[in-house]
Amino acid sequence: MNSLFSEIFGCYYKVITEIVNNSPLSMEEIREIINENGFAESCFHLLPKLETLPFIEKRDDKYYSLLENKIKMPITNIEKSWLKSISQDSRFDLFVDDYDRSKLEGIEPLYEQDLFRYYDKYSDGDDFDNYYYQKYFRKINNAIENKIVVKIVYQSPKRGKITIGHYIPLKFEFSPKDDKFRFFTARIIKGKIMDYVCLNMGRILDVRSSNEIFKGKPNIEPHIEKFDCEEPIIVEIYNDRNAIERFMVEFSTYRKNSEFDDNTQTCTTKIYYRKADEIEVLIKLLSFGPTLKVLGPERFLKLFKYRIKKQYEMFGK
Amino acid sequence: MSEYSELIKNFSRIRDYMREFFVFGFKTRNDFNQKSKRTYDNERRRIENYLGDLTKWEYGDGGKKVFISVDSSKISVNPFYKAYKSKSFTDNDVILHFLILDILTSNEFLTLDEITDLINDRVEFLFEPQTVRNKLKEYTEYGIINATKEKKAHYYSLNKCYFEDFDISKDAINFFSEVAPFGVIGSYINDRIDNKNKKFQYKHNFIVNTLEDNVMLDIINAIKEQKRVVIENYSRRDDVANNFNILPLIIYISVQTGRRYVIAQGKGKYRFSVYRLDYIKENKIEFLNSNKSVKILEKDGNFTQLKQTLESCFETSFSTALVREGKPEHFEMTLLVNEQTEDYIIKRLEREGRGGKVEKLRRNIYKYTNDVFDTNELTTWIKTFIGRVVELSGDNKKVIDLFYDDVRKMAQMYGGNDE
Repeated sequence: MNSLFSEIFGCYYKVITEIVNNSPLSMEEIREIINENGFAESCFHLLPKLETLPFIEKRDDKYYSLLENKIKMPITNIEKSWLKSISQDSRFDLFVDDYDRSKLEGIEPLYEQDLFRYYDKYSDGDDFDNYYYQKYFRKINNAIENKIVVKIVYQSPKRGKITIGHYIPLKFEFSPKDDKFRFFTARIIKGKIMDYVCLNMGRILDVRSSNEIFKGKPNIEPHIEKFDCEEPIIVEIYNDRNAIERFMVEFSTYRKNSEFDDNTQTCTTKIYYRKADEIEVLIKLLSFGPTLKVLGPERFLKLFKYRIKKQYEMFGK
Repeated sequence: MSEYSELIKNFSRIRDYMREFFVFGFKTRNDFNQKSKRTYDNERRRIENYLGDLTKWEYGDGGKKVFISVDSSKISVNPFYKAYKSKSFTDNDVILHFLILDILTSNEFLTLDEITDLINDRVEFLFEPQTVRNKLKEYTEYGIINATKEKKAHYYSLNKCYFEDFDISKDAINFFSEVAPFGVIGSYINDRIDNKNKKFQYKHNFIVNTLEDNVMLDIINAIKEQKRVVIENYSRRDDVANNFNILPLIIYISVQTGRRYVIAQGKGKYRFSVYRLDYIKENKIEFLNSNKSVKILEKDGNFTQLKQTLESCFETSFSTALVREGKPEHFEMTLLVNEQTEDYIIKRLEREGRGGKVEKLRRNIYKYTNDVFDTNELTTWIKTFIGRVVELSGDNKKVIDLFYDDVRKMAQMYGGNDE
């Protein structure tokens, strides 16, 4: 099997392909291509190299390709095998209705699905094979693509209340741990954006597409920022039971900033998290037991202490 | 002294530094004492070049620390994929790449000599046929070029097969690039079709795992061929590396802790060993000749039987304790749950309990039971229920005592029972 790490997939080859396929180009245009596709110092390293390539010629301050054709590299075997593997994933059919798998016939998958075992994935993940789930997913996906207003019948997680509303879906979020899709969406009332919410795909009871294309400019990004915590949680982790290593790997999905004290062999870390995930972070920290100590902020510390106090009191009963 | 280059020949070194900067992020230049200061400076500079603003630095008591700061739920593309796009190449590599693709776009069924002549018509120096042959062989293995043999001669053509021929949604590529094994391959496809992800973001996504993909690829190929391998496993705790001759059986992934393992037959016929992929070194000198990160050995006839045995072990494993012999340990946890307002706790027990049974004992009191080979594996999970554990019982008293002991220690740490 081919190596994953090859120059044919590298960004320098990508840059040169862009240059020859779009020639003639000025130096300024080439710089733009490099800045867009390369690394921070690629201009410095790549520009002198270009003039030495026998298939690029500089004339009148422009760079010309001497190739006869535009370069389009065929798909490689390893890429085809990966496509075959993802086509066997239960989530693949969310993206295409009735995919013609004969197109991938004769290709050996890079891996079979049962070669991987996700042993602590939650057992109540979304039912990706369900006909209606797939149908609603595609409708939401189409609405995101085309900024279409959709009418959604939704069962709320709280007491199962059913709501009906108009939404412009904006972005999916997938969690491998939960094995669930959610999506961020703007809620529309009387043609105006009322607020931004996050809905679970698995709780949708019906989706009706409208022909109405929303003319406004919904933008979820600033609202996602609003979901962030106001202050990071600060924890001190002790060099006991391999806790520092375990903690660092486990919390690597969060933005964090750590300091290690050589004298005490402890690590102090700030964890930045989404407000809605506060309880999730709290129980994750509890799972480390006495190998770490929460230092703040005060409000979070109170929540943490409350659980320990409650447990301590229960011992007496 | 070699000149600094933005590109790299060997992935393993950048892999180690990236992981340190991202996962730990507290080490200073002086802490990287296994390599020279110059090596540290070069690797840090490369990582800054690849990751841009995601690389931060701060001065602390121990000096300047460099770290990679990313909230994985806010990014649409795994930034570590950039490291895979940094492979160095020679002048010959790049010239041959573009000239061969151009020549074979215009012509089909050319012999090596014809291709070599056409290349040499366009360059000021001469390529040896052997150099061109090597590149054609490499590209044939990648599937970019087809080689057909007729009357002792090989004829080369471009394999004109493109992503578009498969009619696969670009959204699928965006999604699976981030969540499927070897997602970096999806990122390669995206680069060529100029497909950018604007629709998906990911939560609980351990983006750093991609740095182990070279190792994992060699291991899964060995699994597919049922072959034994020699791995060099580095123990961070003991700071030593050891070689192990193993028969890999499955890749075992924790989506909660971010650890990925290979389960393999270790010592003894039915004993399974678990090795973390991030602890397996890649491209060590002794494996370099085969261009593999692990040394591939012979086929092992016991593979199928071992795989079946392993499957039966999963039934009594909560995590990585995979044992066949002996009796599993019984474990019970009784919890206080307010049925009116804390329905989610019961759901947690059901969805996170990995085969455990959940039953209602009486109003607001629920019991979780499970039979596992090593109760110790449940300890971290049990602690997530601190504040509502009424009673723990089971065969492994040591684990149960440890829970009570830990809670006492925590109570002391946070001011005893005063508040």
